[in-house]
Amino acid sequence: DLSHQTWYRNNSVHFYIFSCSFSGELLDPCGYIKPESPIVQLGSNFTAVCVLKEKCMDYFHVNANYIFWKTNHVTIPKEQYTIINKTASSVTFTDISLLNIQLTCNIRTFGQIDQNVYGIRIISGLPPEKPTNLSCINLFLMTDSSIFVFRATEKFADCKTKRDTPTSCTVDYSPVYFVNIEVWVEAENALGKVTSDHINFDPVDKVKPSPPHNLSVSNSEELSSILKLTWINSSIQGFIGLKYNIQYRTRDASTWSQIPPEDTASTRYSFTVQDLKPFTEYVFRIRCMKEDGKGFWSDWSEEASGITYEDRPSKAPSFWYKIEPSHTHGYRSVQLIWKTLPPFEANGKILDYEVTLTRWKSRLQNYTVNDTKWTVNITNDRYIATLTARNLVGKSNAAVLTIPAYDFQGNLAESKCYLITVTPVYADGPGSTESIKAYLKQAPPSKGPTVRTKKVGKNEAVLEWDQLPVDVQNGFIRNYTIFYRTIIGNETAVNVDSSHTEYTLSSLTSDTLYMVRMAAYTDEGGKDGPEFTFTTPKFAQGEIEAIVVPVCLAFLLTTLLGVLFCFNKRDLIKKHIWPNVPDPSKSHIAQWSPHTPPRHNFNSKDQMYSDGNFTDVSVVEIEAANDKKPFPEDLKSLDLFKKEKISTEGHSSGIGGSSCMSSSRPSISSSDENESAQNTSGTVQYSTVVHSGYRHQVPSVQVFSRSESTQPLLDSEERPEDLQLVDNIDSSVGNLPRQQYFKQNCSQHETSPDISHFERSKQVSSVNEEDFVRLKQQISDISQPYGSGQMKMFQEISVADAFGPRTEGQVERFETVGMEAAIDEGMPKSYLPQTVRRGGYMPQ
Amino acid sequence: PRPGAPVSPAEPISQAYSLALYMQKNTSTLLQTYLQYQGSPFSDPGFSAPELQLSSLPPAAVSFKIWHALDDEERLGHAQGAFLALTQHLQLVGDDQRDLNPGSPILLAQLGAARLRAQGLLGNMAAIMTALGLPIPPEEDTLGVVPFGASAFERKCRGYVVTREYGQWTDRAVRDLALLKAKYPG
Repeated sequence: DLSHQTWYRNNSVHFYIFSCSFSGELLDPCGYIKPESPIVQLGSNFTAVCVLKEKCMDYFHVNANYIFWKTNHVTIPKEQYTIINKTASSVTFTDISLLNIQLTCNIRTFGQIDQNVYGIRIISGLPPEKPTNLSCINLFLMTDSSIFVFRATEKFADCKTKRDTPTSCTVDYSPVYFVNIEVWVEAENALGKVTSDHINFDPVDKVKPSPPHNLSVSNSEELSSILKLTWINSSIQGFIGLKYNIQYRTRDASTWSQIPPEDTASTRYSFTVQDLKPFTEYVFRIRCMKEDGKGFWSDWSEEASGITYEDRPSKAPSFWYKIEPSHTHGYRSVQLIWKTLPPFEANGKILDYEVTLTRWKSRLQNYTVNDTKWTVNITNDRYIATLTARNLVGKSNAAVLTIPAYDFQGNLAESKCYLITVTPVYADGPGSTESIKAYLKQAPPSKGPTVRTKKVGKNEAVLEWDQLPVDVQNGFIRNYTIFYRTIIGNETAVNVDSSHTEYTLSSLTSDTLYMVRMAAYTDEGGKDGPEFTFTTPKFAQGEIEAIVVPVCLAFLLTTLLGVLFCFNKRDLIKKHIWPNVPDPSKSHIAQWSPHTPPRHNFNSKDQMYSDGNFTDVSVVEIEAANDKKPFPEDLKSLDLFKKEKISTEGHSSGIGGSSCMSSSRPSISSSDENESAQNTSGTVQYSTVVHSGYRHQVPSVQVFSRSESTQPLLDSEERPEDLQLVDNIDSSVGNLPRQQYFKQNCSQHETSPDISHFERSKQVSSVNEEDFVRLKQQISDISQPYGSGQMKMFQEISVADAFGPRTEGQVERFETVGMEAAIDEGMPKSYLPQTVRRGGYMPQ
Repeated sequence: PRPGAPVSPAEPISQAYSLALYMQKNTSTLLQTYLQYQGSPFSDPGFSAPELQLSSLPPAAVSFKIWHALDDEERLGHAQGAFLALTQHLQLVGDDQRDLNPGSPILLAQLGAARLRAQGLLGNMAAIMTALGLPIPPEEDTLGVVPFGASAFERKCRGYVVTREYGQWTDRAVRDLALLKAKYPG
């Protein structure tokens, strides 16, 4: 029972005693009222009785019937009266609502004189309400004051409220921590007594500690942004942990900043506050409470203040100059003036200022100044001045100021660009500078811009140019004009804004030479630049490709289709182009020997002959050439060539390439042959010997028909064995015809007789006269029907006969033409007649 | 029984442990203060009389093995008995000192505080026993008949033994409660 607190809901009871006075003399009262000092609960009934004394009744000749009651000087209606007996009358109130009633008992005496007999005051009220919201604060006092002995199991001294603080009560004794105590409140008045709920708690959880004391602040010379607080904790920290609130503000601030509570959540004796401004006075205060948050915050501690240490000035002072003309010629007086730094920038006490002056490219001079202005005599040159402020810790950054040369004005030149800079000077120093470019007087540019093409298209050209250098601008370039024209056309002008360095000319004609030049204009006029020429291309980029590629593709496709078509119809075409040609090899008697097995496969022959033989396809044309060239000179030359060929090549491979020029290059002869073939086609007609049954060694009726083919006449069919056989037999002669053919070939090629050939022929004229004669005859034979369009079969045969022994050599060459050979083989009959004719035998 | 007494033993054990620690901080001060006020030889430096005992006060000293073998009920019962005796003895010493050293409020206050704390620890131990479901031993009059006619020296000696044993029993209570605290963690 730590505190047994009692209070009365209604204050103490007052009552008044009315003295009755009897007609001027103070006597005993004439009667009395019972009860004398009633306390009545509001809303209840109340009855008072007035009893008259006998003596009085006799004196006034009254009895109880004469009694009437008044409350607060108002007469109470008779209905509430009750006459008890001769001397007593009662009055009853129901549901008393007034708190304070003055009740008097009166008698009306003879002669209507009212006499007051007695009076009471009725106090009405309510019994105490149950006290609620009990709370206890354990004020932990620093002084270990005397402890009043109490026992947890005993009820101890009640704490009575004082009149002016009826809802709180303070007990003086120190409770025992970590022992629960129980507290309740009793309220009592005349009408009753009530008790609150009991609360049960450990006093240590209700502690309101005394604030930390002896708070002191110290700064650090190393760090100008910190202050260290130290304090002495309330002695309660000996058995409970504490947490703190630390607040601080600058001296002139009104609001407090608070250190984050999580930084001060445990018992401590000092704290370092960071992020403070240098050289600034801060005020601190601190409070504490139990670490776990149970209980109450202490009051704030006494405030303590400290000043952070100085730091170097954070900013250079604002700095300006005034120039005063000096008496000394060549010198001037310059006053440098500056502002003192505000405390938040000075970061300490400014001890002095350091001024340096540097003339252009000369040595720096140092001056230390204590004032905020300084006057110096300097020459008229340009100077650079710097200013630093110094405090105990260090120097500020330097403020730099340029003092322009004295003779600056007056030398402005026309058409020169000047940059004019204006710096405003306010009370607290220079403001932001503004610059502008200006000319005293502008002039046309001294050079025009040089234009060039950046890109040239079919119908447009992108021009580009460089900005004119400032030296030649002579003014502000306002715009450019581009002139362009073709050689014949009119000149076109385009105006371009001066901010551009590029322009695209459009609607140009393709494949045209253009001349372009540019002029730049200032306010005062313009100047042309050099002319530049360029030619627009005929086709735009990709245009050629766009045309060529589809054409090529179309061509390719057509070719491909043609080839496919030909391939599909090859048999038909073959029949049209290559008619059946008789196989001359069948004329060989030996060939027909039953011992010789027939050969069907040409591939084997192909493999046997070298590629070198391949080119000579031209044998037949010789005959055509023969037709064409019946001239003796030619023949002669041919003959000569023939000889030459023999002498030079001997029994060579007989490559057709070794043609008229004795060249061994196959390509020439090949082309010659082609040409000759063309020339002869249509003009020479051959006879065709149709022969059936050859392959089966059954020669049937020989049919000779005139060939309608333009295919050159093949001299022989090829059978390597046969040929070799022939070669062996008649190798010396075998080469002669071939040579002759070549000659003719050649002379046919050269439409007019070639002298050199001729001469060469003569040189070798001695050679083989006999051959020459034979050849001549042959040629004449063939030349006879020339131009008639018709040729007798027998004539040709005779020719073939004349050539007979020599055909073998030619065969070599023909064989290698695979295609022809294949065709020939497919129609072997056609060769038979020659064979027959030549050998003079029929196969069967 | 208090209204709102905790059901879990952890809370009263913790509270009792905190109180025991709190008491422990002050026991040596109490003894020093007491001796300081009694004059020679008590106030002589290094005074110690371990052989002095009071038959009415159970000694705190116990062999570790025996102490460790105690169960919760025995452990709490011993402490309960000891602190019950101590509260009564501290009351007696306080009365004695009020006679012998009436001008020493500091000593009287410390003696009073010690007695109150011992009383508080008794209450806490009762709460622990309730929470653990152990029977609470009845309060006994351990002091018995007090020889009111004892001499001042005897009373000083008696006070010395009581303050000394108070410290030793507090130390032992801290050990007891630490053991219980580990056994019934919150």
